[in-house]
Amino acid sequence: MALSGCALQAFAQGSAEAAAGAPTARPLALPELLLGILHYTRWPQPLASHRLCLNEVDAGSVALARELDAQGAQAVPPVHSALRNLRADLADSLIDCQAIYFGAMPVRSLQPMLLRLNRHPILTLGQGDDFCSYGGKFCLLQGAQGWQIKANLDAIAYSGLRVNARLLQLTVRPVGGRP
Amino acid sequence: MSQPLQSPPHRPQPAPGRPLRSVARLVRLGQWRSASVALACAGLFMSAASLYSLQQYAQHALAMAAHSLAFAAEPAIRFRDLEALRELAEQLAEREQLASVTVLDRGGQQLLRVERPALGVFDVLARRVANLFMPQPVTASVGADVPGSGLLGEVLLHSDGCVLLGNLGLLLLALLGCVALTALAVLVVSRRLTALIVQPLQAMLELTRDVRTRRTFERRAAATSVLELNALADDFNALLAELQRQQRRIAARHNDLRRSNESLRHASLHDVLTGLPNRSHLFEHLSAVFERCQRQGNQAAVLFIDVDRFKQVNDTLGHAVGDALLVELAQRLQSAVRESDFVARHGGDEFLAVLFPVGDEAEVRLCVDRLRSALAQPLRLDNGQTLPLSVSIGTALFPSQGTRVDELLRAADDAMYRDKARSQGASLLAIPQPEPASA
Repeated sequence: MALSGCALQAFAQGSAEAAAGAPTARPLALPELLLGILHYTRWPQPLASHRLCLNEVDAGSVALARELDAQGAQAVPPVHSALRNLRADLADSLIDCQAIYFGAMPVRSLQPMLLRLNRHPILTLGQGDDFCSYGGKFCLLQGAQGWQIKANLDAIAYSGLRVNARLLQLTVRPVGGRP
Repeated sequence: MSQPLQSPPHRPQPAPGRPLRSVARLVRLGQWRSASVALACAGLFMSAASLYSLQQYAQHALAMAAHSLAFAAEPAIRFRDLEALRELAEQLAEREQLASVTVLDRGGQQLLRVERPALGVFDVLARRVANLFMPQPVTASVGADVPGSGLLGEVLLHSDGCVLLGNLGLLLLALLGCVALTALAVLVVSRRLTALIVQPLQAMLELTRDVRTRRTFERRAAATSVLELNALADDFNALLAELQRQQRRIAARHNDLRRSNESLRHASLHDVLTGLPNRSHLFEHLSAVFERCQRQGNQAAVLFIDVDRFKQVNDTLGHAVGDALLVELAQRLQSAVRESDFVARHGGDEFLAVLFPVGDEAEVRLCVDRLRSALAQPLRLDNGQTLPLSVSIGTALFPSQGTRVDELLRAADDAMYRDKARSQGASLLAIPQPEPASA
């Protein structure tokens, strides 16, 4: 799978580049980023609520889940978090999740599961460049200037998910910087 | 005949406070007034309506722009991608000619503000116009299209007013065009109206003046295409016709009077029977001749001529023959004297001749002899008889025998009696016996 051709970079930046004289904006937190990407994603069947599954083994997941539940309740449809075991052999048990956040899990062992999950309309999100290279749909990179998003369009298209073009437009940046 | 063209004492005066104005001016003024009122009304209402719709249009366009930005920039706001937001805002500001774009976040804090500086006088003016027409920014909520998700922020736009100003300029141009067109129409219509009204009036004025000064009563006012003026012209023509008739009557009567006056004067100065000037005419003539003689140092001769035995002719042959005799003598006398001489009947059988100018006594005597021989021709009567004639002539010379009329007349009369006495001794009148009428 050639990721480089379709992997797009997005800069979801904080206030670092705010124009002189403009008030500084609050830096974007991870829950907001996740909920934002979910906001622009459509599943083949409309659902009353979306389940975002987190790695139950990860230490930070509980706090993240709390924040997601607090903010996701206001989303339309509401987003609820669920703590799951994201082991590679338990892929079939994750099919009731609409989105899965893998965090910074090592991706090499995840590849078979990610490819398997790509057959279903499930949004997979993870940290690090490699996540997209191994079949993940959105990879989040935290740099000095804030969050950076890459999207694996092949995987997204294959899974039957539809991502709002406005989000993709936001992520599309010509090579060599902004005009 | 022609009286000076001064204003008659009964010249009509306008009411106090109202200036005397020409019809052309009145027409033009009236036209201007109604056109101005119409134009002002139409201009005011149309301008108000146009301004309102212009403002509404601009507001609407701005709202559309705000909504489009709110929609397009939603992800950028959601992810706080200020760079992408700035890009979008700058593009929109350029495309939609905005003065400023402000983006507020959910809490009302300013995320971004993009301003386009005013370049040049036009931009500054346009911004003032925009502030005047749309003092409040047009706003659109970000994230309002997703129900229930809550607002992400707000977009505030200010127009730079360039389109507004351009449209205002067009409106002004249209108004100016209207004014110019109206002015042209007023000019043309008032000129035509003036031509229609003033020209016939002017012609009539000229006509009345001409009639007044030169008494050209035969002139008539021409027909016009204005009803009232036509009626006026008709009445005026009727009046002129009346005047003309009256004038003709007066002229005819004047002629009659002059002729009868002349004949009266002729009758008063001439003898009815012979047609010769009578005594009074003679005296007038004598005075005039003496005056001229005195002035020029000339001489004149007064001849007193009396028909011998006229009473006898009258008594024996009848008055008709006597009259015929007098008429014949008068004719002979008249044809015997010169052009400049004067012959008059003094009364009864006495004639007078005034010879003027004359040289010496010899010339007078020559003249007298010629007269005498002309008058001595026998008169041929109607019944074929001939009547021998003879006259006695007395002469008096001016100024040697007198310088007054009566003096000279008496002298001439005396001389005539002497002549008569002398001739009666010599020739006895032989009254021819009436002969039997020749078959």
